[in-house]
Amino acid sequence: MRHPFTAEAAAQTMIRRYHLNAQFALFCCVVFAIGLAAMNSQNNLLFWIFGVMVAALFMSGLVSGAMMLGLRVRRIDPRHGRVGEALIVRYAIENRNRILPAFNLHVEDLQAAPRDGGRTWFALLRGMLRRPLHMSEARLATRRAWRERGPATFWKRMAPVSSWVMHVGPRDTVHGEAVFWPTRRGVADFHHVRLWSAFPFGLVKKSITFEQPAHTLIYPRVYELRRGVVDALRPRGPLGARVGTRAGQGDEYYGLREYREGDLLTHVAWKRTASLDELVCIERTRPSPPRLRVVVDLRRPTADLRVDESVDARRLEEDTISLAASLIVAAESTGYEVGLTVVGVPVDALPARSGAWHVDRLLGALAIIDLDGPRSPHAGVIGPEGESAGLVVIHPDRVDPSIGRREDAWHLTGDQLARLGVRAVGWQPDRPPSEEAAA
Amino acid sequence: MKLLRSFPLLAFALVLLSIVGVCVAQGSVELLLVAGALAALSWSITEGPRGRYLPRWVCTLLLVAATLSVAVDLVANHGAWISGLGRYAVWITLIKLYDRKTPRDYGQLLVLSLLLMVIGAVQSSGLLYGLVLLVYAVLGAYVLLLFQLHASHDRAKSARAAGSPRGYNLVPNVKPIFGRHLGGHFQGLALGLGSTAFSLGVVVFLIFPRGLGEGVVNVPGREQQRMGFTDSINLQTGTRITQSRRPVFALRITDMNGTPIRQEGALLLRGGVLDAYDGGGAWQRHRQGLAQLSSYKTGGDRRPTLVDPLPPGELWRLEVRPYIKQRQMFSMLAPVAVDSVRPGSIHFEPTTMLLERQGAPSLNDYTVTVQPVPDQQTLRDLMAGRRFDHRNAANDINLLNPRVAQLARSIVARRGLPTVAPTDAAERYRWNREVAGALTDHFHTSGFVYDLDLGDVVVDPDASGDTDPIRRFLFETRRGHCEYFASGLAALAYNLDVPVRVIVGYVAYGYDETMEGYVVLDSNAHAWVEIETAPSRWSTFDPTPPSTLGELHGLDATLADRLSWIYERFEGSWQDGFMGYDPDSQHKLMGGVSWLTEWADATREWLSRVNRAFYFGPAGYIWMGVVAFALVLAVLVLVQLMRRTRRLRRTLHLEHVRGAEHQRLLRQLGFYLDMLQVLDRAKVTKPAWQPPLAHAATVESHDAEAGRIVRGLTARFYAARFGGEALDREAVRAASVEVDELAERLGVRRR
Repeated sequence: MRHPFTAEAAAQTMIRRYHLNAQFALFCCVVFAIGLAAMNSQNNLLFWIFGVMVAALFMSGLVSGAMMLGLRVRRIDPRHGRVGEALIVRYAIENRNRILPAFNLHVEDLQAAPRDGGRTWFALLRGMLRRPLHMSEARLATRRAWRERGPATFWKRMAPVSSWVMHVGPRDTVHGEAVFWPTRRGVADFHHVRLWSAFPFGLVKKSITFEQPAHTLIYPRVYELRRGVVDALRPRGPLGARVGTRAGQGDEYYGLREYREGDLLTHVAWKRTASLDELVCIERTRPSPPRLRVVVDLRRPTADLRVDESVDARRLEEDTISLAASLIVAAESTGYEVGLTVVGVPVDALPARSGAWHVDRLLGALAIIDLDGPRSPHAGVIGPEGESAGLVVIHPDRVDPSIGRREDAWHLTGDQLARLGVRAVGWQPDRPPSEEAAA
Repeated sequence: MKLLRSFPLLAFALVLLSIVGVCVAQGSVELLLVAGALAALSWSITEGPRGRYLPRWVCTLLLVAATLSVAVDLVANHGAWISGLGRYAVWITLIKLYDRKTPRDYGQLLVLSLLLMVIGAVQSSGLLYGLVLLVYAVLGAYVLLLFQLHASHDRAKSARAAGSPRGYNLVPNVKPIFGRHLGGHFQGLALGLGSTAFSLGVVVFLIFPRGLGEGVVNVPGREQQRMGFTDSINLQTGTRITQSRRPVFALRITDMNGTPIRQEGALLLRGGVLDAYDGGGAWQRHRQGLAQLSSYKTGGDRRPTLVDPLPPGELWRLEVRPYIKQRQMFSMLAPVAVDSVRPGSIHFEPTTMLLERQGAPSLNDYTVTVQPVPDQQTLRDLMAGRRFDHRNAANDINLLNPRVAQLARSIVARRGLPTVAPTDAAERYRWNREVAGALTDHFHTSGFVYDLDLGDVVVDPDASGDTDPIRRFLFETRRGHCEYFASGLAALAYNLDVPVRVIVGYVAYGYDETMEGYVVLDSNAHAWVEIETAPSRWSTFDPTPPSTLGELHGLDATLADRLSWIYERFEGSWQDGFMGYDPDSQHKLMGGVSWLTEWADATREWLSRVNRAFYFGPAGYIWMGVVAFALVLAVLVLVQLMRRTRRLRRTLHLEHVRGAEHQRLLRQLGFYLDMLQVLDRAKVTKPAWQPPLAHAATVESHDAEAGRIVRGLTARFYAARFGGEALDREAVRAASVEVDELAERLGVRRR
């Protein structure tokens, strides 16, 4: 068993490797053929060409090895991503070499650890023969991950796009970036970063793999909702827009106070000023925006959802989460304070607040929902006690009025995303929700 | 991004250079003009924002056409397949130049250009091609480096475009990311790489064993080397005389003390004796001569002499360094000794005094000692009582002709000489000489013209009338090159029953002061005549007009000729130094590092002496081996100790501690260094900024037991380093044991 120290320190471990590829084999064959031709004909020009090619082979291994020796790469962890939007991951590549610059560097994020242990020459040769010429190590690692975990990878297509850095000078640091395309929400894991180069002649590929475990949240896909959807859900009556209990920039009268430098003259209460013989200003109340609590009902396990067999239940649940995320984003941008409660899965209820940071928090909560985890049939507490907020309950399959027993509560279902959503934010999904609904 | 933008142009230049190279190697101006123009045109058509490319199907069609064309060409040229392959590669390259250029296409173009250069190297050994190859190598290395960057950039762009979802264009294109001083770094690296690769290439070139596997595979249709000299004459192929300025061999003449000798005028070097005329314009070597060959072994300590002992009087040494492989050995009359650098067998034909290598043609340098003015005794010794019989049935049939005889007699009569040979032997030889002189003068004064353009002279042998080239030369055309003149003189002399033979070889002109010798070129091939003017003595008569000879073979006065001469000197050096690098040169070069073998011999001798001095006998070497091993071991241990001390000094910051205290700390605090190394192996490296006790606390927070050990060791370290407490041997040993425990606890090796 690994000692905890070593496990901790493994983040800095590196694996250096030479990769022999088909170009190398081909070049060796050509060199061999020219050598034979030179020997057969005793032609000195051929001998010289042979010598230069042998030297090029030697230098290729030497330079690529020496070049990679002083390189370090660090992933600058992305804060979060969102399905439908590019997730840009940045890498800081540092060249600690004092003399030798590094050229033509490729940075790849491996979603699976490279095979441990030494590889025999036979295994190398076998790998070289089996591997398609165009397939990179990252792609191979991803293919392994795909085999092991199934097709539900986080990234669009099998191969993550690698970052390419043309040059890093000696004792210099440059930043490269790779673009990932998240395809589903959740916690995306990063494992290893591989830095490789085949410079100078493309014959010998040298790589260094750094173990840098990290994870980031991928938020659910957000749809732009139809105009008026949020207004239709606006809480009315005592749950609507309220007057705050603190001074602010609202319209209602809050009180009087002495004049302070910078106050507008229009704020001066002239009658009171005249009677007190000193400048007095009127204070207004702080307006309190309407509040909305979005409740996602996930009490029923996926297999127990009451839908036709032709409908993908898991997809419906994901649409439910997407609808919740879309509502949160739309409501917040309209000026609402939004809170979130997810029932059936262990996610804490979040209070109603506004602001981008709070929206990130809500979307993060939606992102970590594990639909494969255990479900609880109990609704529990929907929100903080005494909270005056409108209620929108979203069910995956059918409306269940046992949650939000209020007259003004809105109940939506996951398949309504196709009707309420205009289009997805960012790149469009391969299969629009309307088609999904039709199916 | 200037660096990446420069790639297409440089790649194009490289491909163009390779096309030029193969055209130079093939000596084909036509191919150069056509292919070069087409290649140059492709740049303006395909490059730039409005560049247009040939559709793939057109390219495929052109490829098929080129394949068919080259196949037909190969059949027509009877399998000169290397030239054919070169032309084929040129056409493919041209088609690719007009094709769309992805990184893969660029890669193919670069491979094609390399193929072109390799084909050129097989075909040519000239200096000009060597220069093109050198420029290609330099430019190729740079372009190859650029290609890596260009291809990666293109692939990164394609990958991002392919990975982006359809219709989503918010992701920017891939732009090259680079640090400071990109251009300088790239050029510096390219220069360093290029020069190192070049140097290593030269080393491989120099040390690669030569002569190994030579001629294992006989390439069919391989082009024979063109050579001005042949040991036969064929007057039917009138325009055969080459004007190639390719060096054939270098010649240096010295006296027996090694002082260079400069010969004024033409220097005739004999390579073949032709005495049989077949009537159709062909002179051959008569087969009788073969029975009189003598064989000599060369390359030993003793130089084989053809005359033993060497004759008194003036002797010259002709040092010949061939640039192309030859069997014939060229020398003046009369050779008295011969030797070569490498061992080999040489045949000597006494009656013709010709030397020839036995076996395959080679580049073996050789030296011939000659008596420039041979005395009668030497000639007699060389011929060993044999006599060259110039008369044979073939000549009687083909050379004897009344009309020619009539002409010969008229020439002799005009000079006032008897037209019939005297019966007295001495008179006869004198008459021979005078007749030969008269006949030679006839060619110099009777309007004969030296001409190489003999296309109109060559006639069909089946045509009616007198088709004999010699008679046509003597009576009709009166135009020809040296072979015609020599044949004409031989025919006239033979009809007067004067012993005559035609000689082929080289004429050396233009003494080179810097190399103190001559460079003999292809175009210096020559033919002349020898006539017997005394018993065993054959004198040279050259009917070719001397002025023409000088003009053709000598150092001319025009600027172009001088420039050409300078180039030839470089060519000579190239052939001599580079193309002529052979096992002998390798052996000589290795002789330069003979100090290594000498040193090894000296060491062996010294060891032997030591062994003898101590009367150890054979076991002494075992003892010496043991001592040497112990010495090596001691050195290794010493180095390790020094490294450890240095590391201790640096880790414990003992730079400012001097004297006994310094030594004490070095002696006692090794355990602390060991502890740090153990922690380092367990990936709990102590940062330089962290105090030892703080680091111990860090370790303790992860593993209490390990932390306890570290804390105890650190306390001991503090006491010794800063508290001035001296640790006794027992305490140091205990600390070392604790370090072992720590290593065991953390699951790492101590060393």
